[in-house]
Amino acid sequence: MRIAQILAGYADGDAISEEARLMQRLLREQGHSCELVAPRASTSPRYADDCQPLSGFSADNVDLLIFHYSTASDATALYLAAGCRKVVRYHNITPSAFFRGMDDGVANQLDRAHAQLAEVLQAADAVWSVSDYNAAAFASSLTTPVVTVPLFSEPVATRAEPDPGMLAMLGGGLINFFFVGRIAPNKSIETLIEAFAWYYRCVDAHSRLVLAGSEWSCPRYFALLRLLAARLDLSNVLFLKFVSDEQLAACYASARLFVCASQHEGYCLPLVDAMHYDVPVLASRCGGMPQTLGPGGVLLDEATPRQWCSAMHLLASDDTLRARVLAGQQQRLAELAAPRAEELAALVAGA
Amino acid sequence: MSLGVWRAGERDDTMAERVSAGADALQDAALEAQLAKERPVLELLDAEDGEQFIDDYQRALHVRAGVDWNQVRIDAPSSRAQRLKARLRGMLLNLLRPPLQWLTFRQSAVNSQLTSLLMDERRQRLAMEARLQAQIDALRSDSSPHGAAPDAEET
Repeated sequence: MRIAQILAGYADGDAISEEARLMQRLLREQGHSCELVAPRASTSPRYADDCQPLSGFSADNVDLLIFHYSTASDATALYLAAGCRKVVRYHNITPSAFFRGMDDGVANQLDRAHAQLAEVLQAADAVWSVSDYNAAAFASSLTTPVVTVPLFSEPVATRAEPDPGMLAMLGGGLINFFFVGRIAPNKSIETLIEAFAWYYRCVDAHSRLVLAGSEWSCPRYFALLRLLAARLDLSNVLFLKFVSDEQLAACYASARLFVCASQHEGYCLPLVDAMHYDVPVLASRCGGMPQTLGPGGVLLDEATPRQWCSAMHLLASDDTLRARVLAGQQQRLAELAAPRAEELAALVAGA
Repeated sequence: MSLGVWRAGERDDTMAERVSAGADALQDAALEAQLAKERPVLELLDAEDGEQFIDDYQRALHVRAGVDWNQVRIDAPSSRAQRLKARLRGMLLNLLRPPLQWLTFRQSAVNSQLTSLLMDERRQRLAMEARLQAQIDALRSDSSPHGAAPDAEET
């Protein structure tokens, strides 16, 4: 079977790109032909050879088109025009309000994606949603079959060894609170910074808040966070920007706690990576995160930065609590460890 | 709004009480004052569009251009050795006070020059955009036989 996956962009450190890459590998191992297609302008030059440009692609001889949908792009028109069997891999669309003022261009793009969503879904033969939370937004109004399929991912722990330089940098006996993700307004990183200010000043100054993620997702938001940390005299807030897999592995290996105060998430892959490193997870109870964590982690609802600080302290210092949380996370990892190749084969056959 | 804590997939009210009690015990008047002062920085997140963000951001930068070296903190010592170290740091800080004051004064002057320059650049750009827009409007009305924009009929 000839399968094509269409993406709005293809780059390093992007969960959707990594899923497409892994699905491509699994499908090829099953004897299918599988190609990746994305607009050239949003394809990392490093992957230009692995990903076909959208402009030169024709879906005429394609048997199955898998469209990864999370934002508006030129890929939508190609998907809608294709006459073959079509699947939408729905990754969620961030509400534009988070970006309004910070990046009006992205906010408009997200508005367009929301406006096109119904048409995109109606044109599909099947919808694969990464979480029940995502599916709940439209499943009742749709005749197309919708199934929840957790994100296909390869844990950082299995693909990279911790970078020694980063391990040394994050050593020194300090307690490391770690977050990785797009530095974007929906991640509410300012809550983490404020919570860390309380921790640093009132609980333990021998601590760090380590924030990894590219500053280019939303440069204004990144600048604002830097300003806030500087104004609060928090020299122990480290902005690592983009990190390699090896550096990311070192961050997880050095972390006492993984923290995520995000206000909107479809799935949140870093939670799974943290569980692989046996790092307790403290996250906000929103979006797809409760389902991603299952019986693992601790979730906060309506917490103030002071309450975040208090919960961070509990999870960093109470060994009994940590052991219980880690046991829940191991249970969740066991649930997620089901062989994905067979699952994908069944999905493709049923699409 | 009350705090909710979920653990092992279920609501955990005992842990919520522990978290709340721990949060209530956190007291630092200086930090509270600092956070209150920085509230306008967080309010930038509520900007309605990019222009408003830039306006507010430049204002926020301008009023924060000064370097305040008086906020240098020496952590509370817990052992004899640390007490000694803290005293030594305090003495050194006092000795270095005049050159530090001079440095921060100079740095603050440079910072406020830069923020003023940025604000002035922006004012000039907005004025130029308004002037160009007025010229475009004038040209459009001149080139149309009835004074209307040439593309008005087709839109």
